Amino acid sequence: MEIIEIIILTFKVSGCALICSIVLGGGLGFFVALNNFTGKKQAIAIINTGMGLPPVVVGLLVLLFLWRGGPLGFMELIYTPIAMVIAQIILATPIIAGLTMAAIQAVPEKMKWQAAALGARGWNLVWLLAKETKSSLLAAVMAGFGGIISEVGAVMMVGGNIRGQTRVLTTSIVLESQKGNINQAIILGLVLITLSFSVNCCLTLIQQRARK
Amino acid sequence: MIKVLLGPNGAGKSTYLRQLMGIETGRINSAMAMVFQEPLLFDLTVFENVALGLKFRKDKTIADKVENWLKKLGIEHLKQRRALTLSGGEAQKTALARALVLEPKTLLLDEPFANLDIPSQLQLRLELKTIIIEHHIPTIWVTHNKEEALAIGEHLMIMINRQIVQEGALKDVLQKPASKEIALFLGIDNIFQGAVTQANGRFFFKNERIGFEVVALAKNNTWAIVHPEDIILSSQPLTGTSARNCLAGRIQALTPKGLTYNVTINAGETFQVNITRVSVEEMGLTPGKAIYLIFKATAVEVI
Repeated sequence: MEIIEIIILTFKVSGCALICSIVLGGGLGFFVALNNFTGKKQAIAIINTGMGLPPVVVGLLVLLFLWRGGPLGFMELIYTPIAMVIAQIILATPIIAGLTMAAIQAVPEKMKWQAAALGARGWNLVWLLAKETKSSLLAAVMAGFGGIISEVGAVMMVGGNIRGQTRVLTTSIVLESQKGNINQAIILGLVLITLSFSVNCCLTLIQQRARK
Repeated sequence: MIKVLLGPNGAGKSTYLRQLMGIETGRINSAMAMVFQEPLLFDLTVFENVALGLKFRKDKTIADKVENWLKKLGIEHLKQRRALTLSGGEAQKTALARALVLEPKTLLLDEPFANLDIPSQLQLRLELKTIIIEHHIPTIWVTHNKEEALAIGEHLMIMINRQIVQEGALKDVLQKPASKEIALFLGIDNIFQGAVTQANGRFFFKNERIGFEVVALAKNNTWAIVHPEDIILSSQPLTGTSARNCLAGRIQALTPKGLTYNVTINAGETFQVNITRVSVEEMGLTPGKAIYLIFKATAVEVI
């Protein structure tokens, strides 16, 4: 069944992109929030701008880089799932980084003094603050996932919506509705919403258990 | 030994402790532990909170040490409780255990009970003081409250405007404040502003309302302190004693203060005099009565 293939690919691409974005965005968010360096304000401004990047512009940029004649063309990644993952990472990383940064910065300064006085440094400090802000961090993950799963413009441009290779739920919905297969499009839409809902449901359960 | 760091709000006491701890510079002094005004517990269990410092130090006997201190502070039964559900007193005890478990070379306490109700404050202060003395933990205890300072320790450091302006035995500091700022902050009674003049080898303190003999070098714009317990009250002017000063005044108020009375007298300046209840009764002291204040020139502190 083609639809199963599409769902599996959607899961793979979104999952990879989400994991990479959590590592990159989370790391970046912690780093910026916990360190003082010259250009910190500018870095924060760039991350915050990145939270609202237009997907088609990101798609265009990735396309330019990965295009056969482009600087990274030799890697032959254009129109592959990897290209889609790259575009989604660029979109979701700033979202996760920005929300992580905000969560860590919102920890009262006195709590950070207390953590320091106890000798929390490096990974210990990250662990302690992550536990302290776990609800907000899960919200950051949910926001990142939301951006990734619903994205269509960039993946269409860099993936090409090739049947059996780079066709995911969002791109096939666009295709089917353009072809006039409204029933097919509606079914795919329901599948997408169900998928998105169940993942967020799991994350919400974890988040609310953490609050108890 | 407990050193009490006393100073008005905004004097820089908390900043000073953070500097000692190394928080300001980021180079933490791991031989010290600090307890803040708020419990600042993390969203973990009581046990996990108390274990944090040891965990970061990769200690081998975390459980034993933590249990031991939870027991000493009487909060062992709370160890599996989520820290954010504790009452104010329980939370602050947890914060204390978290610092004490590290066996610090110096314990820094930044008004640790200021956010609790008065009965809890008194009880916890006593408990903590006992623990500190029993375990010989060198401690710097910050407070802005003079009464608390008196209750805590024998060694006093006074901080005003980010400077430690006086340090010494509690008794000495209260008896001999090093400057007028210190005396005013300590709320010392009978402190007057004026100037000391010299005449025929004798020294007189004077302002527009009062004058009396002192033993001190001449200084302009100086302050004189006569402690309330150093003044004798007399119904008649007293002669034939070595006391150099005898000032006429009138009683304004009598305030019972435990076994003694505080007598407020107007003698140009307002004086507080501390005498026994028996003296008040035998002399028949009442507000409005004329009275003489007698004190030695050597009893006057000039600062």
